[in-house]
Amino acid sequence: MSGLNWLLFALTVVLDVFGQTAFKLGLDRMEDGVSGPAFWRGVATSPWVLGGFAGYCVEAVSWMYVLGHAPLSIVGPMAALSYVGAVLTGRLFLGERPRARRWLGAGLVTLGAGLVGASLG
Amino acid sequence: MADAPLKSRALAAAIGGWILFIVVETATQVAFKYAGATLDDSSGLLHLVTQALSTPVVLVGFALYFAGFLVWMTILKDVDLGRAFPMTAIIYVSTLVAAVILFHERLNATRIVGVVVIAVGVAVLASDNGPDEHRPGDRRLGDPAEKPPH
Repeated sequence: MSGLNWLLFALTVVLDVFGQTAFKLGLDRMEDGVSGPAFWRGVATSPWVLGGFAGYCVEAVSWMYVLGHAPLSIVGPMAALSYVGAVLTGRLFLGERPRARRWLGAGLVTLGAGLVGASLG
Repeated sequence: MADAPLKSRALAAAIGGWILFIVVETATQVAFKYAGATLDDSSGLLHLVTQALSTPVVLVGFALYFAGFLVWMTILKDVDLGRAFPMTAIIYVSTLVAAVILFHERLNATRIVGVVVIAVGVAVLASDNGPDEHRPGDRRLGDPAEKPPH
């Protein structure tokens, strides 16, 4: 797998985590109890939500390139690294306090991703 | 006893929903893999995008992606996220199987162990719905939506 491919893989994961975090930030900033058309208007005008969506669009293209140039059995499972990223951004930017179990899961995913990457030989 | 058939029908629907979800999510990855392998990326990013939007398998991939979102919503309607989310770890295993069958990828022991460790990690991480955190896992990754993954 080429350097460019690894770089775009990293970009895919980063944009996925950014998108999730941005959606959550955008939704957290909306008024409580808003529903129906007002909710969707809020979604459509939130800079965070729109920014996250733009990131998703780039991510889709990047991910397609990566999949086209790498084994599915490598990058598919390794994409789970975005779970780890979301635990980190939840802790850093969303005021979440993950318990030990969540950190353990994040650690296992990282370990597994390392093994899968190393299996490329 | 009167509601026994009703219960078994609900159970059958739930199992059917999960099977459909796993199939759709796996097919999404497969479609994107085909798409990526089909597209010619030698003539720039913009061309890649316009080409992608006029390639059937790409559109099928996006349609599957959206279908997966809808199926996921119907599952969440009946099951708590804390119980449903860990189950999505199965998709890592099903994708591995698809890679072997459809793309003839060869696995070695390290890769198989790694994928199992990832799946266990996702299940452990996703099963943490503890009360002491800000907002219990109210989103799903991997499957960007909504998800993720991917």
